[in-house]
Amino acid sequence: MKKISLTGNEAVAYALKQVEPEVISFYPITPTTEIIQLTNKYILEGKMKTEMILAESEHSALSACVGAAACNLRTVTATASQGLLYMHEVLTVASGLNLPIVMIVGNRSISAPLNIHNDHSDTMAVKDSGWLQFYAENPQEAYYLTILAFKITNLIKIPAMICLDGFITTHELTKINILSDKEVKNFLGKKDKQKSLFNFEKAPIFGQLSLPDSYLYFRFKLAKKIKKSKKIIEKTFTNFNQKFQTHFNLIETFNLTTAKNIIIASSSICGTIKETITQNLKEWGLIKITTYRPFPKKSLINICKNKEKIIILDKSLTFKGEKTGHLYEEVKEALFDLQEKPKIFGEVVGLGGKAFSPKDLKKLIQKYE
Amino acid sequence: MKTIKVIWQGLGGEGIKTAAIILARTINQQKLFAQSFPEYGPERSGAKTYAYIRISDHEILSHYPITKPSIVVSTIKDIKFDCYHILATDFLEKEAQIFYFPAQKIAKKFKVKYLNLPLLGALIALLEKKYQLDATLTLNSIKKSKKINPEIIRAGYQELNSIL
Repeated sequence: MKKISLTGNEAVAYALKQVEPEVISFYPITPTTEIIQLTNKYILEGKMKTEMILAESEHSALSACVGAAACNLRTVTATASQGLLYMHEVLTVASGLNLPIVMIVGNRSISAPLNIHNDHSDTMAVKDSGWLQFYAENPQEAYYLTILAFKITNLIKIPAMICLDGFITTHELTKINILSDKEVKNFLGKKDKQKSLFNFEKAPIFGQLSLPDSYLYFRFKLAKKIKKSKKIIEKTFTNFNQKFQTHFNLIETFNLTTAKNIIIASSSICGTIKETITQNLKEWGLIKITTYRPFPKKSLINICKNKEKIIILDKSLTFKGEKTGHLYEEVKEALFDLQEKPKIFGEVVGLGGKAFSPKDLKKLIQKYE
Repeated sequence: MKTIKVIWQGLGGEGIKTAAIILARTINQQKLFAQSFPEYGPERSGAKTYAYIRISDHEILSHYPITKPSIVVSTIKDIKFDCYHILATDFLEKEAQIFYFPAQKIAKKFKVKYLNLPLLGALIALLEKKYQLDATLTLNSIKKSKKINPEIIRAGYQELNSIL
């Protein structure tokens, strides 16, 4: 393991170089364009044997991934914001067909008004399209999660999104640990044998018509698969943690042993929260949601049952009439069955890249004390 | 060590992001930790853009834009913080915490358009004087490339060092 300085985008591109997926299909969009530039450079330099498809739109980019994945090829794409929304139609196709595609999303706000900075409106808009969603706190996690996503999707046969905070994580340069190419290859192992369009002797069927008598069966089957995936993800995380001394889990906890109150959040703001807790918020703990889909309901119930207050920080807005976000709704629903419920509050922060500093966090907490 | 926070401000397309990345990468090769991230984009070409740099002896967890800087490096005359300022001008002068720095003159001497490299040299000089950064090690580890001429950075370092 060696340490080098990389930005989030560079770290992801480096992970892709090590994984060497067979097909990369892209349409450039800020803030993930650098991933395309770098992977293309690796391909041109002969460091990566990958077929790159430069599509004419995001819709086509993901469609190409669907075709390639149906041929049992490792595929990856990257997008953000409006690009992800343009892919929405194909997202459900990919999950419905159980195709192990990996997508890197540089979380960016959605138009209008036009804004290129970070919030989670884009990935939250597609959270129920049958994809797994993992949120990275920093470039280091983005690097590891990209490698993990290829392993997990290969085991579960459900596509996965790795979400990096646009500009904050994608463009942040830090010192990160890099695995060797051999370690990555050994961890990923060989691809599972599965049906492929290239199997001309025993040609499989993809995307067949399903009438009312069978449609429900297929959708429930997908839901069941996502529920089951929790155990596989946990097992893969444990295996990865043991091999490379990391701490991945469905959720990550911080300062929870003594804290009576909890902040729940995901992605880059968790770093700021951790630093603030260490300095002067000792009575508060943090739950970081790494795996948003499948949602870690059981783990949350176990941790939250004896607590007093919970503040959920969202970087997205639901527009149902209140100023609350998606994570708030999920957590509230998850804790509904608890007999002695903690007081639950929700706050929307950092929309459109608005800075969320320790000062803002302290102000928020004062509001609920 | 208290975290050193630097804001680099200027106009989009001036090489602010590149300069911040050069410094953070170089410092990360030492026993310190550096983080840098920009606020920029093709949409902001010519508009005000920022790059943030944090330097510390421990891992940096915060990811929000700097609000209380230790140093501001700027190509535009905009002084709103109570901290050290390096301002790109056409003369060399020290006035309390403000350093007027002839970045244009050095850039012209090396026949380059951008002011980011001379300013980077000046920033390294200030970091050495006020925060005990190893400037020799930092300057020596900046490698020459298509975009980067270490000689320009060195010239900027020497220029500001003469009045520190």
